[in-house]
Amino acid sequence: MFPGPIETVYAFFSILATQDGWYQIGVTCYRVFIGTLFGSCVGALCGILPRYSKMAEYAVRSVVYPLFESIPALCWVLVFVVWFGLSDVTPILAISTAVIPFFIINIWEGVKELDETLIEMAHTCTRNRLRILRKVIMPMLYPYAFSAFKTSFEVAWKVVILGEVFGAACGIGYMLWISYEVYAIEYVFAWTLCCAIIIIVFDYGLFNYIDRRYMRRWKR
Amino acid sequence: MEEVKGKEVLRIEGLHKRFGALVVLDDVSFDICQGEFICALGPSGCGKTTILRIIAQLAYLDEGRIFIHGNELITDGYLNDLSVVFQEPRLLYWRTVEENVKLALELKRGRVSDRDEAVVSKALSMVGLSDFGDAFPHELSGGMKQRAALARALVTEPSILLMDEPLTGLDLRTREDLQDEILRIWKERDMTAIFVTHDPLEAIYMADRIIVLSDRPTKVKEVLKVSLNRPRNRDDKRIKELEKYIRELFGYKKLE
Ligand SMILES: Nc1ncnc2c1ncn2[C@@H]1O[C@H](COP(=O)(O)OP(=O)(O)O)[C@@H](O)[C@H]1O
Ligand SMILES: [Mg+2]
Repeated sequence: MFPGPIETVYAFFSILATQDGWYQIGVTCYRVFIGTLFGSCVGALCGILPRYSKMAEYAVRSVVYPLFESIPALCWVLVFVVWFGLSDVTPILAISTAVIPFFIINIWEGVKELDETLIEMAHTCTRNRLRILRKVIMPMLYPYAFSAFKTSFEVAWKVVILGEVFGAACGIGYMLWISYEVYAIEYVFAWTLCCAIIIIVFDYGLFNYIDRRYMRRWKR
Repeated sequence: MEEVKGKEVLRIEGLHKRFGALVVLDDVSFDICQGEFICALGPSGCGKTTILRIIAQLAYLDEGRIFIHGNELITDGYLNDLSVVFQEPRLLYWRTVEENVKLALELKRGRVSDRDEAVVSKALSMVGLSDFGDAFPHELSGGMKQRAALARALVTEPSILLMDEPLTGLDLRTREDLQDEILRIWKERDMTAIFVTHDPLEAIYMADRIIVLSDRPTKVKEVLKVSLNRPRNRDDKRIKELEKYIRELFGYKKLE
């Protein structure tokens, strides 16, 4: 029989009532966090390097971006399972590969919109490019990085479930899969509810709060 | 009268600069002495900004030579000793006025110490912005933004100050106030100043010597010594006469 809302809510609270339930949620959150962080570093680097080198621009435009943009997340997951087996690495790298294009696109866009007059001004104070990058260029890119984080977070949650179904031995995605295997459909629904709540809390709560509270000064 | 001429700080010889097919600078030469206030006067688009950018090593010259203290080598010491005030304030919009001033020190040295707080507030009070340290650039008027930019240029205690039409676009009253303040600070700090403008009156009021530039392709038309005592009086008849003379040099053309 198809489980109703009561069974689902009951299953949901029985997940929250156990330490193991929180552990599974924690593991998935941790993977989302690390995967997004790693992807953001790689993506931001690929977005900003073209400013400094024609070679890098060519490489990113014609190899790196198409590579991450065109390969479906599921294919990456399967490849990583082959390479790394069932481990943290598989879902984490799956997330990274999925969010990298968002960071490349957003940061690149920001780099194109950089106010060159401010950078020229900075050049009259120093010839140290790293200082100019840190003090002048990066702050101009914060709003672009923030919107990349926002999009990436949603994508990361979709990908982590996929990654955990195929490539992990714990986490929300793994629990979903196990529940399905044993036909405990109320648990499938309950874990889905967990995902939805976490995404809503982060997206509408945290990101909106950060946006209103902190991002204003970085915007033009 | 300023008869005592200091040592030569900067000499520019045969400057040529092209942008593609457009010849902007076509043999520009002049020199600047220690403690001197030089105005470069020329019509819009004649390459005044380009000259300053070349002096500040923000642009390359196609031909010509630059001598600093008689030496043709551009050293880090020279660049550290030089500040630029641009036509636009170029303040970082996410930083307060105080943080903007501090930026120059952060960029120059990598980090700032507690002692620098005092240096920053001294620079702010020098331009009359002591009460606006916590304001953001968008909260300031045009004149105050330019004051903040001036404070940022002064905080590193340069001995050479380059100014690229810093007062263009401000209303007359603010302009005249800032002209006087720039002259006061220049005297107090004993700086060598190059001030670019397209306004003959402004040049005459401020300069020891005026480098009068021609239309593109740009050459030096004439170097005019302004031997009026400071502080000068804006209503001085001799200022009016000099203005008439300069306007005749340009054939009474409007310079803007
Ligand atoms: N980076 C550049 N590329 C192409 N043309 C330029 C560049 N910078 C300046 N120019 C041209 O050189 C001329 C002089 O410019 P500029 O030095 O800004 O004049 P001014 O400051 O006297 O108004 C202008 O015609 C301008 O269009
Ligand atoms: Mg100009």
